[in-house]
Amino acid sequence: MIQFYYAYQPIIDFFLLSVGFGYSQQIALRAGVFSIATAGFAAIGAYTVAILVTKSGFPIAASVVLGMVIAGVGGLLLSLPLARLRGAFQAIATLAFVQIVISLLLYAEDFTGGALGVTGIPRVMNTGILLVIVAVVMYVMWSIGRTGLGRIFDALRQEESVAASLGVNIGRYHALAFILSGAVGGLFGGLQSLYVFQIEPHNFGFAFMVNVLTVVILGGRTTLLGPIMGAAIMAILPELARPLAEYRPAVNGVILILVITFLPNGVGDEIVFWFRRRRHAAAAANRAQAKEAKDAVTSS
Amino acid sequence: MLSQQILNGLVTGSVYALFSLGFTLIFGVQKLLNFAHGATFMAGAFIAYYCTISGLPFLLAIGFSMVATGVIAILVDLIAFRSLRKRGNAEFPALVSSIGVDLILVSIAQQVSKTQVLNFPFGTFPVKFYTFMGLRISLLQLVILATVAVLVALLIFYLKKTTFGRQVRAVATNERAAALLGVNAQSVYLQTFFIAGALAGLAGVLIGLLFNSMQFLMGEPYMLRAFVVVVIGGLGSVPGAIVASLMLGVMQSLTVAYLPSGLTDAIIFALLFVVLLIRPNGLFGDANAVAGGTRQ
Amino acid sequence: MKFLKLSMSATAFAAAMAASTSAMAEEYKMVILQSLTGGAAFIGKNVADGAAMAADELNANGFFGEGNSLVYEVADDATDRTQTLSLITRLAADEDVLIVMGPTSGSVALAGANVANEREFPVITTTNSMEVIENGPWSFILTQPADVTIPYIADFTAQTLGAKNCAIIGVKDNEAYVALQRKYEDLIQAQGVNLASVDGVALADSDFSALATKIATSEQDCVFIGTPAAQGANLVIQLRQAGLDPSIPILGHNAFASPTFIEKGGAAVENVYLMGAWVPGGYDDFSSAFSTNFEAKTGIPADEWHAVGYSGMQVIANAIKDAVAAGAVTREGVRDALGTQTDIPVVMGEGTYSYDEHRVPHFGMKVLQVKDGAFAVVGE
Repeated sequence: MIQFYYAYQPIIDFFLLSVGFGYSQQIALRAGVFSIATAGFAAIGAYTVAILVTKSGFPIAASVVLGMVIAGVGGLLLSLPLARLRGAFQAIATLAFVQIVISLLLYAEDFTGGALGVTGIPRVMNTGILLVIVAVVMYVMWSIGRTGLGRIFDALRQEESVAASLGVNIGRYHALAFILSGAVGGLFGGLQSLYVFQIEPHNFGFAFMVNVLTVVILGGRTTLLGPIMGAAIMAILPELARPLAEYRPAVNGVILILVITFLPNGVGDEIVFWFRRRRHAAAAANRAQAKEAKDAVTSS
Repeated sequence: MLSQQILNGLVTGSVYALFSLGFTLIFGVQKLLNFAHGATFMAGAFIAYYCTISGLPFLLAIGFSMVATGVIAILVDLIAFRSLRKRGNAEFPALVSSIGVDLILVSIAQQVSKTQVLNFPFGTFPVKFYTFMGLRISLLQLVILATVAVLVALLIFYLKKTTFGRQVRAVATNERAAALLGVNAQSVYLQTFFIAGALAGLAGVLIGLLFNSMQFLMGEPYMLRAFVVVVIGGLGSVPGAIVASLMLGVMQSLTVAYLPSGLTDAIIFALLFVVLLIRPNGLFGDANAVAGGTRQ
Repeated sequence: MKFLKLSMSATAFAAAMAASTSAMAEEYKMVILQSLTGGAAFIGKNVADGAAMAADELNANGFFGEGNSLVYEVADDATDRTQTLSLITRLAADEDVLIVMGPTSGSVALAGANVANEREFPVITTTNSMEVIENGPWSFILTQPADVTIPYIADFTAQTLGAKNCAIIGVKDNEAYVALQRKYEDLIQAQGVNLASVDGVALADSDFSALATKIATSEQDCVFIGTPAAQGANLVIQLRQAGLDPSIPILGHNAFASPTFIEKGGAAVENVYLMGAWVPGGYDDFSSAFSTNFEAKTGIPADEWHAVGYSGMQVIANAIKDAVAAGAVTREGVRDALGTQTDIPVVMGEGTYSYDEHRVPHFGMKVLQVKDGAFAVVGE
C-alpha cells in the first residue's frame, strides 16, 4: 500500500487538484451559467500566489487566500457584463475572458514573466494538505446544497423563468455562483502553483478548459460525487489507455460525446440519483406497508 | 504603409467571413454553437493538401475537399447534435459534444501529419505581384477577394431568393411552426451543415495557400476569431458576419502594425466584451435572428 | 579522438569477451520519456526516434559486450505535466530503471527535474534550460544553453556582417525560444547593435502579412527570426512577398537547421544565415552515415532534433558503460558517470560531446547559410 502510494502519489495529488477545479466549474453549471471561465480563475489564483511568494516573500498561506479573494472578485466583475447574457453568449464571453487573461499574462512580461512564466515556486503542497482543503471545499459545497441556495441554483438551472416568477433575483444568484466559482478556481490555481514548481500562461489554455469541462460532464453537474468520479476516471484513464496515448485527445473526445449523449447526468450524478430513487422507492414501499397494516387494523 | 495594411486586413478578413458565415448560419438555424467548426476548417486544408500531393489537379482537390468537409459537417450534426436536439435544451450539451468532435478530428490530423507543419508545394498557385497606386497585391490575394465576394453573393441569393432560403428562415424562426407548414427541418439542417462545412473547408484551403502553412491546431485561433466575428456582427446574422469579419481583419492588421506587439489578442477579445456589454445583439444584429439570445 | 575512443571500446569489448564468455547476459534498462504528442511533440517525437535508432544500433553492434544490451522503453507524457510527474514517479519506483532520457522541454522538463531530484533518479531532459541543472544533481540537460550557442550567431551578426540596426521577430509563447531571442538581443546590443523593432508571434500563427509589411517598410540592416523552422521559412516567404529589400541579411538560430526550413522556404530562404549543431546530410563519416541510415529507416530526412536524440543516446550509452566498468550499475553510478562524459563522438556540432565541470553540455555550433537550396558552412 505504501509502495502503491509512493508510485502513484502525483496521480493522487493531481486528482485532488482536478476535483477542486471541477467544483469551480460545477458551481457555475449548477446555477445554470454556461461558464467556461475556470481556466481564467485558476490562472489568476496561480499567478497571484506564484508572484507574491517568489517576488515579495509574502507568507504562503496568506497569498493563497489573497489569490482566492482576487479570483473571487474577478468572478464578481465578470458576472456584471454576463448578467445580461445567457446560453451561448455566456460561453463565448467566458471564453473571451480566458483569452484576455492569457494574453495579458503573456504581455505583462515584467510582472508575469511572459511566456517564461514564473519559476522557482516553493513546492510545499502535499497529499495531506490537498486532502484537507478538498474536504473543506466539499463541506462548503455540501452546505450550499443543503440550504435554500442550492435549491435556488437548481431552480435557475432547470427553469429560469419559473425562478424569476417566484421572485428570485437571478442576477444576484448568478453573481454569487460566479464569485464561488472564481474563489474555488483561484484557490486551486494557487495550490497548483505551490505544487508544480513553475507555471506559464498556456498551462491555462484550451487544454485546461477541456479537461475541467470533461471532469464535470463525465462526473456530473449537480452532486458532490460528480467531480470526484469525473476526476478519478480522468486520472486513471491515461494509466489504463497507455497504448492509446497518442490518441488521448480523441479518447477524451469520444468520452465527451458518449457521456453527454447517453449519460447526460454524468456518472457520479447517476449513481447518486440511483441511490436516491432506491431510497424513495424503499420509503414508498414502507409507507405502503404501514398503510396496509393500518388498514388491516382499522378494517378488523 | 497604412493602405497596404488595410489591404492585408481586408484579404484576411474576407477569409474570416467565409469561415464565420458557416458558423453563424448553424447558430442561426439551430441556436447551437458548433465548436467543431475550427476542426472542419483544418480538415479542409488537410484534405486539399493530401489530394494535391497525391497528384490531383489543384482545382479538383479544392472541390473534393469542399465536398468532404461538407460531409464532415453533416457527420458533426448526426453525431454531436441530432440526438441532443431531440432531447431539447441542447445548448450546453451540444457545446460539449462538438468539443468532443473537435478533439477527435484534431487528434486524427495530428497523427496523419505527424505533427508536422504542411504547405502546398511551390507552384500550386502562381506567385505574381502587381503594384497598383503604391500597393503590392498578389494574384492570390485578388483571386481570394473575388472568390469570397462571389460565394457570399451566391449564399445571400440562396438564402433570400430560393425556396431553401425561405425554409431555412422558417426553421430558424420557429421550427415547430415550420414543420406544421410542411418544411422538412432535417433536410434544412443537413443542407445548412453541408454549406457551412464546405465554406469552412474552402476557407481552410485559402488560408493554407495564403500563409503557406497548415497544421493540426490551425483551427483553434480561427475558431476564437469566429466567436468575435459572430458576437460583433450579431449571432446568426449573415451581413453582420461579413462586415464584422472585414473589420476584424483590418483591425488585426492595424494593431500588429501600430501597437506594441502581443496586445492584439487582448484588444480583440476586450472588444468582444465591450460589444457584449453595450449591444449584446451585435453591432449589426438583427433582433429576430438572435431571438432569445439575451434575456428579455 | 573519435577513432581512439572507438578502438578503445573495441579492445575493451574483446577483453570482456575473453574474460567471461559464460557470464550472464546483462540488460541495462532505461526509458525514453518524451512528449510524443501535444505542444512539444515536434521536439519530443524526433528526439525519441533518433534515440531509439541509436540504441538499436548500439545493441546490434554489441556496444555493451556480447549478449548484453540496453533495454529501452518509449513513453509519452503528451506535453502534460501531470503525466510527466506521474510517469517519472512511477518509473522511479521501478528499481531496474537506471535513467530516463527526458522529459522534453519547458515546464514539463522542469517539473520532471524537480521530481527526479526528489526521488534521486537520474533524468536527462532535452531542454537547454540552466534551471534544470540548478534544480539538483540528478537532473541533466542534453542541449547547449543559450549562453553557449547564441554567441556564435550574435558575434557573426555584429562582427562578420557588421550590422548596426536589427529587427527582431521572436516567438512569444514558448519559453525556450524566448530565452534564445533575449540572449541574442543582449549579446548584439552589447556589441553596439541597435534593435530596430522587436515583435512576437505565437507558435500557432501563420498570418504574418501585417508584420511583414511593417518590417518591409521600415529601416533596418538585419532581420533576426527566432522561430521554429517551418514557421521561420514561412516568415521569410511573407517578408519577401511584402517586398523586403533582398540585400538585407536575414538570420536565425539553430532551430532553422532543419531540412524543413529549406523544404518549406524554397527559393525565398536562399542566403538566410543560421547556426546549427546539425548540418543536414551530415558533414563527416559518422554524421553522414546517420543521415543516410535515418532517412532509409524512417523515410524522412533527419533534422536537428533527430540528431540530438541520436547523439544523446550515445552519451547515455557511454555513461552506462562507464558505470558498468566501474562496477556501479546503479542510478548513482550512472549519474556520476554521466556528469563526467567528455569527447563522446556525436553527429552534431564539432563532432564531440562533453559535459563541463558544471554539467553544462558543449558540442559546438556552426554558422551556416542556405546556398542553392542546401546548407553550407559559412567560411569554408
